[in-house]
Amino acid sequence: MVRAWWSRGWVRTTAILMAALVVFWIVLELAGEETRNIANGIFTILAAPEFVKAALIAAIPLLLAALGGLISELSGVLNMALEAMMLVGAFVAYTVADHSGSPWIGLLAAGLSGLALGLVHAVFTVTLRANQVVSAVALNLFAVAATALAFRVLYIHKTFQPAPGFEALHFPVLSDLPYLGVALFQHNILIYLALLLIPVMWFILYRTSWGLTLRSVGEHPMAANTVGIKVNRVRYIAILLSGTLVGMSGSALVSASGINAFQENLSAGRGFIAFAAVIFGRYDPIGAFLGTILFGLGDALQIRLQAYGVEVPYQLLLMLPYVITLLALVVFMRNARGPAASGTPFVEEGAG
Amino acid sequence: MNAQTSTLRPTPHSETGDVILELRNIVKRFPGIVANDHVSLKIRAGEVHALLGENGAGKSTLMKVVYGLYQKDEGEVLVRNQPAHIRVPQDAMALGIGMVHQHFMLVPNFTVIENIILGLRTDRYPLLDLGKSLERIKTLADDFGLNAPLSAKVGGLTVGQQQKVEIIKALYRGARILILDEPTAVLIPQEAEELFKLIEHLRADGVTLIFISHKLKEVLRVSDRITVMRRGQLIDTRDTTATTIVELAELMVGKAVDLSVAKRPSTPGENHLELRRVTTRADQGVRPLQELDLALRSGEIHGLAGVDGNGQQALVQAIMGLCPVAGGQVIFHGRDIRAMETAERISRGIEHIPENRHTEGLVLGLSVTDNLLLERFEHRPFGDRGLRQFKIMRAHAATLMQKFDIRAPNPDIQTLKLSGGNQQKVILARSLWPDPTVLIAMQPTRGLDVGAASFIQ
Ligand SMILES: Nc1ncnc2c1ncn2[C@@H]1O[C@H](COP(=O)(O)OP(=O)(O)O)[C@@H](O)[C@H]1O
Ligand SMILES: [Mg+2]
Repeated sequence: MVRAWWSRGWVRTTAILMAALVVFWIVLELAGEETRNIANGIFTILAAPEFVKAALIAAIPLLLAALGGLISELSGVLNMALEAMMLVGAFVAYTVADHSGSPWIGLLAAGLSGLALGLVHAVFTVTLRANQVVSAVALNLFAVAATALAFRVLYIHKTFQPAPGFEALHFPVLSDLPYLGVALFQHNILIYLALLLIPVMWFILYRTSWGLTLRSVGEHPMAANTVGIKVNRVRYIAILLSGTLVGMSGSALVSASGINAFQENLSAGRGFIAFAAVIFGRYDPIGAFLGTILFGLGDALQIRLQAYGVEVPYQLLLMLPYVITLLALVVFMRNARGPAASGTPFVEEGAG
Repeated sequence: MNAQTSTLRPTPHSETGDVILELRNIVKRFPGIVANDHVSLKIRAGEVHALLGENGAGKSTLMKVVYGLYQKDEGEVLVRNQPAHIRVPQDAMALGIGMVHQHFMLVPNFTVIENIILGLRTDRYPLLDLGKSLERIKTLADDFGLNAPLSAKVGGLTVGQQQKVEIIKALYRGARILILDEPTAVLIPQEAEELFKLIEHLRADGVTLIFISHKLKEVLRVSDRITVMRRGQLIDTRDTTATTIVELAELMVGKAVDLSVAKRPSTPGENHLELRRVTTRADQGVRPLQELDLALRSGEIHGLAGVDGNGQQALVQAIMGLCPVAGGQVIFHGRDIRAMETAERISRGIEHIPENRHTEGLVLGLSVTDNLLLERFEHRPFGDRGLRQFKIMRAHAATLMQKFDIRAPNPDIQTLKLSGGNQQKVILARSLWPDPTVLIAMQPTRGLDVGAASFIQ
């Protein structure tokens, strides 16, 4: 009886939230004047529109990466190389924008670099039928080392300089709205494009023939094959598209830094969070968005806590967005059922 | 049986006679085996042509060649007297050939409609919007009595309904020659009955049917002509009206067979094993039992019929102690054994031949000896204080191999190198050697008969 109730998502969510509030309230009551002041200060920070703004900015690179990962995953090929594609994309976006003077060319180049990595992943996993996890691990290790090396070689003698970035937009009435204006309507174009991609992806996946074909290849490649779908070709296309999007997420990451800068290991595991968001987001663009926005909120909170001078080692605060996201995903988004053929290479029957 | 047969089998159509599909000297080889050895066959327009043969005779392979899933090594395919170059299933579909596979090629997670239109250009391509085609799908679904909503997920349909979806899917793609690969293997008798009616219906619509089976009675019942295959070769084609079940059996097996099963009348004794109102939980991924009562007496063979997924798995798990029993009692020799470990149950004489010998019954990478002793390798005399007694083990294995006619070069060979039949015998030997009091055999003849059977010695 209790079990049955507990298993309902919203019952559980409400119960946990209420319990957390009660505990919080008790702690505040017990704590002294000073703690209450700190808590008040934090509340003020959270209520400011800048908090939402920062959260969105931090979430967008992960969102792009997660959407990219989703395409590949739905086709039955795990793309655990999101981290590699994001990091290389970020490095390329920064370097190319810096040299060309245009963030758009940087974005394009980042997409192409992701596409190249996607091609490598596709050759290994689809054509050579290598283990999809191993291929991704290799790419991830490669990306960390290669970007660090290239960054040092290119920039060691130069004084640091930010690359040209995307300008913040200003919408006639919207941008001047109280609260919402700052929170939602003063971002750069990349952020709106990424958000637009959520419904676009959803539409393509669930309302077009190609989306159906893509999903069939991830669910039951043999069945797709018997109706004449070229399984491996679809998977190639999916991985290349995936790589392109994830590469572009690197450009968003550079611009999310606020000063359009690159540093070694800039992605810092965000690719893996995006990977988790795909799975726990139930292989759905909207689910992936929820997972990544959570990370954004955690990240924005973490920076504010650091600035507020909470007496906690900053390394612990840095962990905060990762911990929040993973915990929330594990607790609320369990039982995600992935594509049935995920992770298995397709071998045509009787090919031997 | 004959009276019934003749009333249900209509007289052949007048327009039959034109050859619609012709195979000439088809050869298909797999490593180490010739699956189709110069097979030549003519299928007439509008007939129901049965392809009969034992497991492994090469029936599926031949049809997969026709459907473009396998590439033939030699030979020719002619459709409507024109040489046909079928390299991929799309080529076959373009020629009006459809195939319903032995293992359905449906995406369980997709709806009926999505499965039917998968891979096709929709009316409003690239949108999934179906427009007028939806009407056609609806008509087909009504016509063939698919009583399931088109927006239902296929995974939730019964096997019979799924089969209809497969047939509709093929027809929607314009199939005029429809290959049904062992369509009755997965059906319960009522569903098979319905399928036979559907076949009549298709035949009346002028669809040519190739009906693959290894069941003599149903082949006699539904077909106009019967082609028998054995070991990759085509043996002969007969008119259904001009042959008998005995003759077909002989053609199929290659020697005279006695179809009557020798079965001594048994003298059932006391209850060995009794299930009283047994209920299991649903969270095991198998259908649960609900207050099931069952009593197995000594000396009895208790047949249990039912299509896969109706609780046989849960039943076996409950008896073997592989899943917890939520309610009721499992009584073995007068004692409730619900709390007993699986290993203990086995040692007390409850044995189990699993359904899938690859995933459940055998560890294919281990030797025949190891598999024969899988359940008791740690007990004396095969294991002594944690050390394995290889000499004793091997001697034991050799005895069993001889007794049960397991053909393998030596007991140490990896089990995966054995043929399927010999692998089955390994399981059988393992289960029968300890002389169990209760033996549960899931699909012991794999594909021959639906359902699970319990044998009690
Ligand atoms: N893809 C394959 N690879 C290797 N051997 C195969 C393959 N498919 C079928 N065979 C072999 O070809 C023979 C004929 O198989 P099949 O056509 O499935 O028989 P049937 O359908 O008559 O039961 C069998 O010995 C089988 O093991
Ligand atoms: Mg077959």
